[in-house]
Amino acid sequence: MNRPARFVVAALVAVAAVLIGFTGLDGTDPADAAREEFVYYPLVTNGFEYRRVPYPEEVTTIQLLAEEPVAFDARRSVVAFWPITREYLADFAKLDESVPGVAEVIDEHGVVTAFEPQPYTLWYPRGLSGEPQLVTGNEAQQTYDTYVEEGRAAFEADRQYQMAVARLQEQIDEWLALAADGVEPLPDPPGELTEPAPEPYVAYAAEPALAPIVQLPAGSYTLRWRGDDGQIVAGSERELAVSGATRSGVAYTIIPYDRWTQPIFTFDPNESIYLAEDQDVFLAPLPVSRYSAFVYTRLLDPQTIDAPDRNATLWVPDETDPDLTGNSVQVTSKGEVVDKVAWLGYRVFQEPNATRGYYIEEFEADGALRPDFNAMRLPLDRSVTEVGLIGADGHAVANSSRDVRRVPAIPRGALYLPALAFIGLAISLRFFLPRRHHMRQDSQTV
Amino acid sequence: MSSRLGSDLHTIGVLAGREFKMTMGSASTYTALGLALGLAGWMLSNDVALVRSNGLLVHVAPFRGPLLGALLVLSFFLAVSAVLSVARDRDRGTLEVLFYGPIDEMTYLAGKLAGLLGAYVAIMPLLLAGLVVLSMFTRFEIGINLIAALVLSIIPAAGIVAVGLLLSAAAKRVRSSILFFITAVGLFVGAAVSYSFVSRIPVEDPASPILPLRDALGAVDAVLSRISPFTYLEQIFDAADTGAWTAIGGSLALSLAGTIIASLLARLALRWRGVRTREE
Repeated sequence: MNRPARFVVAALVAVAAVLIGFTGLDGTDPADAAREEFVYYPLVTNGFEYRRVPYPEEVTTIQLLAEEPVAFDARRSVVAFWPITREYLADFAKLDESVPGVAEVIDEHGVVTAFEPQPYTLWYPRGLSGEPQLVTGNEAQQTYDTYVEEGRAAFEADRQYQMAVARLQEQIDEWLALAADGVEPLPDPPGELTEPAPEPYVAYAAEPALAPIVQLPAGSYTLRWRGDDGQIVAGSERELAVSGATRSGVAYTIIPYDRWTQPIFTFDPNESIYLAEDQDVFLAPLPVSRYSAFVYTRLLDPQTIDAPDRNATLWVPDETDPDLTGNSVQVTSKGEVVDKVAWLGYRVFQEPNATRGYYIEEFEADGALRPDFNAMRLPLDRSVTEVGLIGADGHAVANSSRDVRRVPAIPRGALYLPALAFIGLAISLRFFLPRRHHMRQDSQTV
Repeated sequence: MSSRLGSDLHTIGVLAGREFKMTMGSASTYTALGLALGLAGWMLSNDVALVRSNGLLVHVAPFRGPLLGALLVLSFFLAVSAVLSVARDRDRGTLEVLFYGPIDEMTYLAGKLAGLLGAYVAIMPLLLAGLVVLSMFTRFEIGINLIAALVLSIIPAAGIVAVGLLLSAAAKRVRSSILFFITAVGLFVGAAVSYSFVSRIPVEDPASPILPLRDALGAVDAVLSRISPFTYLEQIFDAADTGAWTAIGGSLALSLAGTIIASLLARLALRWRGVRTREE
């Protein structure tokens, strides 16, 4: 075997040896066996939902959002390494022992703040599919009591309504039986139900519980747990990394006229919108904030290996259904304002003869009907180069502008012209340059 | 001392000039440039087709992928040129003749590095001109950050040339140097692709052999990505594109350190291998 081939074989053998060395005979390390540990089990949030996330001792940093309340809970449980997801998991089914106490937070200057347990509840005013609020203190019990009272009233109202419906149905069945029997004269049929159906009650509040509620400004802190015996619980010290948004801006939901059920989103203010020449679109603005991707992905999943790049960022909506009444989108063409489009409701009308089977028109209030979506319609003017949001106060909203460009209908082959030009130059150099010139180049020496 | 330095610099300049003229006068350079722009054009045509089919496209930097692809093609060409460079001079006997003169390993390699890097710098405006034409056709924006990324790519390009020169200096013949290069690229790319593939395999049993294999490939990929100059090119490009200027400093420093280490190793390899032509 010649030397280069021997080198290649040696390189491959070395790589295989490294792989075998890393794999070992089995993947289990005795150090990863299950053991009893102190586990924080807080109710943490990413701004949209609250979730219980376990923090075993191996997870040394707890990521929190600035100024968002978090309910801290402490347990003792059995913790083991789960190799499939590469996480340390607490088995609460095996051991779930509450550790009562007080949360102590030490800031960068060494100041210690104790957070005593207080009542709290998770309140969903728009139902479980909506955004929750963590209500604390005396208000927690009041919220829960109000929820129980309103829920019972709604249940009773619904029960009364169902009974009225049942009574009416009974009357209708009786009348139908009379009609079937051919009774003469047939009495008038029972009238319709006049009372409206009660609005379904969707709100929900969890039963209040007790826990230290921690709400901190952005910064680095140390968290520890002081038990009822006055001592710091072993294994309770963690780093608290509290982060806020690094920037705020405006995102847009872009609703194409011909694909209104398949909107496209633009979150980053540096993004540009590229439209086909005749594309008609609606813009629905959404307030957003920028966070470190590394931090945000670890708010609800602290042991994830996703988003390892600490320089990457992501934009997150501040709210999902804002009311932008009074706002408008300013449309600019080469620096000059050409139009201001107001925030309006739009409705989709099904029309078999229409090009796409439907057409979209401005919504006009008509009783119980609601618009299919609220947006601002971008003018079809091809000279439009920029759009930006103007607030209800008449001022431009920061980080809301987007470049708009119309992409011309070019033949696909045109994009290969620069490549062909250089390949043509290469062919000329190779075949058409005089041989004498090539020989002179080859003979040059120092 | 200063006259020796002056003489060395003059020698490096002449060697660099020779290497630069050979590269810029070669048809293969413009073929590589054509392929790079062809790749960029193809990637852009996909975005144009997307605009046509969906009616719209939202993009922060539509030229990011095409420019990075073009730079990878050009840096690959640069690496091949460097790999062939020393081995070819040795095969033809040019190296032996040169070393009878006032040339040592370091000046020779420095001249090669400077010449090939100079050619890379000269190609960049041509690449940019091609991309500007594509931007005019599509109305897609290039962006100032991408131009900064293009300029900063010179540093990792130097690393790519240095690694190519190392492989070339260590090889006895042109054929061997190409084999070394293919093995190195195969290792770098193979590790990354294998790890990416194995990571996507669903695992349900903690005793599955996929898990230790995944961890092993992840470790190998992490080590190789620290060594590969192509990885630094991508990192610096990404950081410049997103405006993460503090991260760029670290990557540039590591890339520069890699270039110096590869150059020193190339010098040792050249000294070990010698400058004489080997008879079959």
